[in-house]
Order: sequence, then C-alpha cells, then structure tokens
Amino acid sequence: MRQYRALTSDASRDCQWCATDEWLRHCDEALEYADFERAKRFICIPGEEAMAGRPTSPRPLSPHLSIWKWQIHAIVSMTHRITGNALAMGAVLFFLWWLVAAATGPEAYLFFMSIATGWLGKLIAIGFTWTFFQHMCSGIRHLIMDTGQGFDLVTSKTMAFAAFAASVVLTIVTWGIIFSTKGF
Amino acid sequence: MGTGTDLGRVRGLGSAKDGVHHWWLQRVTAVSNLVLMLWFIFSLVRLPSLDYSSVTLWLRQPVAAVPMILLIATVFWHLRLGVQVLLEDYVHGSTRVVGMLALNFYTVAGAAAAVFAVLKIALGAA
Repeated sequence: MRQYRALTSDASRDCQWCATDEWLRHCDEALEYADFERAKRFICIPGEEAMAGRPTSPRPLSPHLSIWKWQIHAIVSMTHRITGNALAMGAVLFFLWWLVAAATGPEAYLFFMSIATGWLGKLIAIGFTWTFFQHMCSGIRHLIMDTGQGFDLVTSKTMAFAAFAASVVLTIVTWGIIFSTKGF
Repeated sequence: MGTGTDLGRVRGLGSAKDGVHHWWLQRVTAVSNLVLMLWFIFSLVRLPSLDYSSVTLWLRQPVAAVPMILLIATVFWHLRLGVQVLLEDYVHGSTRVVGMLALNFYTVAGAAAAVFAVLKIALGAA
C-alpha cells in the first residue's frame, strides 16, 4: 500500500490520464479489489517505457466492471443492446398478436384490444414505446459514430444524454396524442 | 492438427469471412427500420380510432399494406442479426447452436405469420 501511494503521489503526474484525481480514485478502488501489482496497471510509471515508446500500461485501461466508473456513454451502449433484444423478443410478439388478431376477425381483435387497453396492456405498450424510441435514438447515435464522427468527449457525452432525453420526450408526445385522441 | 496441406489447413481456419456483411446489413436494415417504423407509428397515431374496422380499412390500402410488408421484412431481418450478436457474446458451445436454430425458426415463422396477416387483410379475405 505504501509502495502504491508513493507511485500515485509523484510518479504518475506526467501522464494526462493518470494525473487527474478522478483517475487516482479509480486506482484507490482498484486497490480495494486487488493487490499492488494490479493497481500498478492503472497508472503510468515514467521511466518504465515500453519498446514502442509508450508507457508500460498505456491509458486508458479498462478495469473490472465492478470498479469502473459508470458513465452515460457506457450506459447508453448497454441500454441499446438490452432494448434491442427486448424489442426482438417482447415487442415483436405484441405486434404479431395485434396483426394476427386483425387478420383473424373482429372477435379476436376485440379480445386483443381488451387486453391491450387494460392497465397492464397500456403499461406494456408504453414500456415498449419507450424501448423502441430509446433503441432508435441510441441507434442513430451509433450510425453517426459509424461514420467516424462524435468521438470527442463533449459530443459523445451530449449524444448519449440526448438519446435518453429524446426517447422519453418522444414517448410522452406519442402517448399524449394517443390518450387525447383515441379515448382509451 | 488436422491433415492435408498447410495451405488447405490455413484456408479452413480464421473467421467465417462474412462479418463485414453482417455489420453492413445491420446498418442497412437499421436505416430502413428507422424510416418504416416512424411511418408505422405516425400512421397508427393518425388513425381516427384503433378499432377493428379502422385498422383493417387502413391496411386494405396498398399504400399501407406494402410498407407494412417491407416493415416486417426489415424488422425481422434486423432482429435476426441483432439477437445473433447476443447469442455469440453470451451463449457458448452446443447451446449456442440450439439458440441460433431457435432464432432462425422464430424469425422466419414470425415474419411469415405477419406477412400472411397483412396479405389476408389487404386482399380482402378478412
């Protein structure tokens, strides 16, 4: 521990990644989970240059999930996968039921609507609406980043935040119109 | 390991060589999903009512039935590609093979049921 303190207090100040207090806090957290050798991987040690002229531990390294600082970029990315698969295995079944009921006849459709416009049905429908808009908005973010744009910290953070904000707004607008015009 | 020539063994290794195609189709279907899903939600919200007659009358029109069939194709294609990534990342061994088979059956059966439903309404049999 003393060894590590010495390392973080003076040795790592040359590196722009390690020099921040925020990063040092990660090192502290890392040390709670691991030994000195692991903590050393999270900070640069001047003088220990690798052959390519880079620090022995080029930043940023990704520590274990449990000690990684949660940031909105990572959360929106995980949410993209979760919402996508929820849509694929949940909303699609709801959609199929609606469509097949309409093709089956008035009784089947009425039964679908009695469930879908009940409180649980509305909850599910509003939930899937948000799930769709969230996947759509973070998907647009992915399409933009696929073109190589929006990787600087401010833009990246803004787009991630915008994806969450837009999905909530779009859900509220959509259901506001449905509730005010469809008489549910 | 293995038999045959060095070149023959090397050719049998490595990636399946269709990763870029998978990646690209995921993006292509994402764009068509975006356009068609926004059309779908906009159309449903604009309908005077969501009862049986309003919905089936709407779906009888070619301008609704054709985009609906395209929507079904692109959504099911996109989800087939997306869930594959989930299975590849989290499911391993023979379970993954079973998972992929189940995903393929789910995709084809779901899309077929949805397209049939649209056609039945649009062609006036419902």
